[in-house]
Amino acid sequence: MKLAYYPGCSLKGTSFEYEVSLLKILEAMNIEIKEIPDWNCCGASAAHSINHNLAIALPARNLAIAEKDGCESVLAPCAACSNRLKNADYELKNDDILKKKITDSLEMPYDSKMSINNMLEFLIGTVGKDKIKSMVKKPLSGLKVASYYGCLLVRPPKVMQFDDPENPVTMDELVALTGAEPVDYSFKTECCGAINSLSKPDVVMALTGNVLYDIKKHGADLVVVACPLCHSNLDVRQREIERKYDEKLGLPVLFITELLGLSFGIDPKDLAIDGHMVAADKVLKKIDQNI
Amino acid sequence: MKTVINEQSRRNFAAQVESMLHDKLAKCYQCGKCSAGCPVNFEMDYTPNQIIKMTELGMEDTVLNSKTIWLCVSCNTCSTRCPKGFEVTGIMDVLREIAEKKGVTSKVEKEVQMFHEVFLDNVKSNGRIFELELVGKYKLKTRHLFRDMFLAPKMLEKGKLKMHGEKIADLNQIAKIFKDFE
Amino acid sequence: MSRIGVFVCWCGSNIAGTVDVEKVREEAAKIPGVVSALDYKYMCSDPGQNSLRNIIKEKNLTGVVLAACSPHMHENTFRKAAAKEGLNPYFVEIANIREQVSWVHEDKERATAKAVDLMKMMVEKVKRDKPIEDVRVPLNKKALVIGGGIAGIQAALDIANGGVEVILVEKEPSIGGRMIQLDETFPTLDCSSCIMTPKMVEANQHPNIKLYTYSEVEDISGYIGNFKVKIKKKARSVVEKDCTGCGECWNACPMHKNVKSEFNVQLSERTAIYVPFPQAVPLVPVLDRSVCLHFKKGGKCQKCYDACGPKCINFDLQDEIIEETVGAIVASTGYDLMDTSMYGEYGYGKYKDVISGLQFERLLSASGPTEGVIKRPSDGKTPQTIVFVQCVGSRDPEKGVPYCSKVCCMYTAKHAKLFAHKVHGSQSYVFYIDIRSTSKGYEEFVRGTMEQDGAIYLRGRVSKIYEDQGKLIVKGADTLSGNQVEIAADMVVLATGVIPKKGSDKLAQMLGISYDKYGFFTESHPKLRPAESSTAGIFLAGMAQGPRDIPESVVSGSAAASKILGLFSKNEYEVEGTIANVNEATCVACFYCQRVCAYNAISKKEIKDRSGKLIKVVANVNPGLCTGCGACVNACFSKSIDVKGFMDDQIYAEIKALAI
Repeated sequence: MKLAYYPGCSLKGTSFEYEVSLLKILEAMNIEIKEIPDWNCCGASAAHSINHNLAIALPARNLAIAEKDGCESVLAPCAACSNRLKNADYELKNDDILKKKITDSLEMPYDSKMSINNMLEFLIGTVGKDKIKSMVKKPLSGLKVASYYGCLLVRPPKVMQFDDPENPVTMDELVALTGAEPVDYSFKTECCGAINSLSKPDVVMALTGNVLYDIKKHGADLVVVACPLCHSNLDVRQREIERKYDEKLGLPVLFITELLGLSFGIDPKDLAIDGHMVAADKVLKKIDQNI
Repeated sequence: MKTVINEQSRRNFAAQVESMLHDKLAKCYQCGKCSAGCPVNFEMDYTPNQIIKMTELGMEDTVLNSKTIWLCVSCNTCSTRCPKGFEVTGIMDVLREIAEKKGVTSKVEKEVQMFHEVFLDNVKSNGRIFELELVGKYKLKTRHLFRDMFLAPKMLEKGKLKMHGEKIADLNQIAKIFKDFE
Repeated sequence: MSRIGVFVCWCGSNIAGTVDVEKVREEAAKIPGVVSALDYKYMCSDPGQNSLRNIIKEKNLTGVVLAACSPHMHENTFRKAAAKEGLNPYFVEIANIREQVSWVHEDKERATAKAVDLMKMMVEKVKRDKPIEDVRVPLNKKALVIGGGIAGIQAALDIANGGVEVILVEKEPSIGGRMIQLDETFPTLDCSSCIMTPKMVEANQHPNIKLYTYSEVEDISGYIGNFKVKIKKKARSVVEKDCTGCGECWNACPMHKNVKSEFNVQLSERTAIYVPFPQAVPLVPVLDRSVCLHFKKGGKCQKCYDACGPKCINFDLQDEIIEETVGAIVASTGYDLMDTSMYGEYGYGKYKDVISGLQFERLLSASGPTEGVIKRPSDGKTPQTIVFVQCVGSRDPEKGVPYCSKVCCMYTAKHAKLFAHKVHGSQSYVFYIDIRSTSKGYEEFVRGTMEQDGAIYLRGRVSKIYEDQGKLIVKGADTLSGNQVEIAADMVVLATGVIPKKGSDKLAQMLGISYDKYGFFTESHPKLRPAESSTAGIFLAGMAQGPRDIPESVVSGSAAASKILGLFSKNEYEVEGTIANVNEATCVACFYCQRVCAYNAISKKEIKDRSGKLIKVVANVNPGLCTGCGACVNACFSKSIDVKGFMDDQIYAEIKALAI
């Protein structure tokens, strides 16, 4: 199956660790993906917030290019990108007038022939549990991992069509495959504040703080995510949150690809884990000690 | 709060929103489940269900100048749980778009609005986001030069902030998209 | 010689608003054979009917055509009027110019033309009508009531007190249904068991009532007056007539930790041999063979048998099939609660202290799992703060059901009130969208809960419930104050929507009655015939029909009973004569008609000569089962079967009338 890879702006920028670790585990699994040539920004939240047509046209360009290229499936590791791509696909499929408007502007056809996957769908669906299990050389036993899903992986359910929007389990299943212990807690799908990170940092800290403190209360060693913006809020802003609420957290935040990479036995440096703001040293030590 | 109904203008505003939303405002039966689950409700001036009702009442100024529409993070908790399947996130998008097209600059949340505008400008010029440029321009516009400054050195050190941005090759097509739909 | 009268109804503006009724009358007058044409505002009214009768008399009519509303509405009305003037009622035909013309078309000219056409067709039909006699079907004056809840019990008692034999069939080991699961009932706070058990005992002891519990209806065939019913009496493993209800058997049963009690809605356990509750009627236990050690592990355990004094336990008893013939049936199978766990955001099934309204009812009840003391299922502590959430599943077109379940506003107010009475100093919060408290004393009852019992009512739905350090955090809205409200509760009660009892759709199919898309049985007419189903002889009562409270269920049981007593007040039931008829001379006995008949109305008939020798076999129509659908007419090769009142020559004449 020809797989198209849509990295999105964050994976080339502040969340480069996500791309590094993804490419590393794909290499280990011998899976080839091709970056969509000359891809553009999907528009993220800014586009749909102030211009609906732009919010469809920008992601649609990428999909049309991939489709023209003969790709059957698109992987968008960023939850927001996958959400915008799936949304564009959904709206174009269900609104012929919109479809004509957009495809006329793009001067490219688009027939909704591909499947669009977020990171978790790709791992469970395309790669498969068996393949992943077979790659685990260094089981992360004893490690308590909280999976944070956030909003855009599972909502809105009729567009994302992925897992249970109230009690998702996919990431927890992947965590279990690595040998680590998935930790249940109440704020799995509560929003971190996302797009307002730069414009309303106080709000974001309140929301992200709620998630982090709930995870801490349930005894996790670390948090695993599949979204660069969630990662950014939980990782980059963690120190500020500790200071604002005067309570320590010390929860490293890893991408699911990094966690898988660690269980595959890949060196943490090759997974760019040192790129995170919250140091993961203690966790890495715990993993090493358990082997 | 008082509103005197002018049926013609009420109808105009409501009809405009309904046609962009592809749904009827009367579908909402004001149960409040959206407001109950909204993670940013605590910061809002009007709750999401109030925004819907005020839109139906034709209170255009109040709604377009509310904090609510700009504070919405589009997390979709509301739409997912709505028992009538009403797109609450959708109506927030529609109201923001109407405000933007009308040139209404939010007096209460103009920085949120600015962020979206600066973001799209960045996409227009580069085809992709050049983060350093985005943050820089945003800070200049909002004049919050020193907010989050303490994060910058560590982020630069970790390699999180790239010094150059990549422009895509087919910028013409991006320009065309913006021209067609802006 | 035909002397036809045509009567065109205005139906107020219902018909006349779209159809030029005077034109229809004018056209009618031109048809050969029509001696009178009249138009009037409301033909079904007294003056309307009187004018019909007068003209029949004055003009010596041989046939009548009404251009009016659907025959479903008033065919009977006009037939009766004609019969009063000595005209055979089957010489009345209706051209439906309302439902088929004025209600579905807008163009006045074309609508009028269509109305004229329909009228012409009926004139040609009525000219060829032949006299038809109604068929009389013998009545078995016995009734069957399916479902022994309050509605079924009331129906059975009323029918029995009317001197008619009743068979009451109940699926569970005891009658009592949902009402016996309740603690106190609104608005009087009557103890449910106290007011219901006398009725249950009366039903069990009434000389005219035969009670079959732990039994289900297996098969039903037949028609009004003659329903053949097969009742499966499931094997109790206990001989009923010898059992004294002493309880030694269930005390001796070793299986007392594994099986969840259905009666206590999974809040406690029961034994394998058990009565669902101490006041069960009959007080005879049932052995649940699916969990009983004797049956699962090869016959070794017989502790109950050993403990039984009268020695009435018999492991070899089998299911029994009982056949009965009855003349009328009441379907009163009641309701279930929806599956609340479908709302992941509420945590039902995940958090032990999030429970349904019925479960809270069991906690309140003195015969419940905690003997009437309100305790948290998780740790047995007394809750100080309870949040009640209304409309869970109801009024929810997206995920639940769009309708309102009617009883939840009232029982939630009751729950909050009883909680305040039982736990002093406690606090209730009720999240509601609207308060529906429409019957006598209901509004005052709810206000009392708010004003005297201190319950805080918050107008808004709940978005999420989660657990935090032993408390349940409830995130809801109060739209009146514009607040997002967060409450730390000890327990949450979800007022879950009601749905028809599981399996009621299969029963409806067996009975041959209609049900709606939610599974509720449909009435013959939602406003004017609420006790009758779509099938003659089968009546409806209770929640099986739709959400309703106890007084309404009782009334509906009595209404069904009165219909049956009215039916049985005669010795025969009259069936419309417009049924299939076989021409025995030309019938070749191929029985294709029998193959296509959906109602099993066709059987073989032998025609013998005077010495008993067989001359021929022909098809025979059972008038009680035949609905006059006409499928047999299509199937018959020899044109030997036709439907009275819709004969072939009439149909051809109608078609030709259009061509003119």
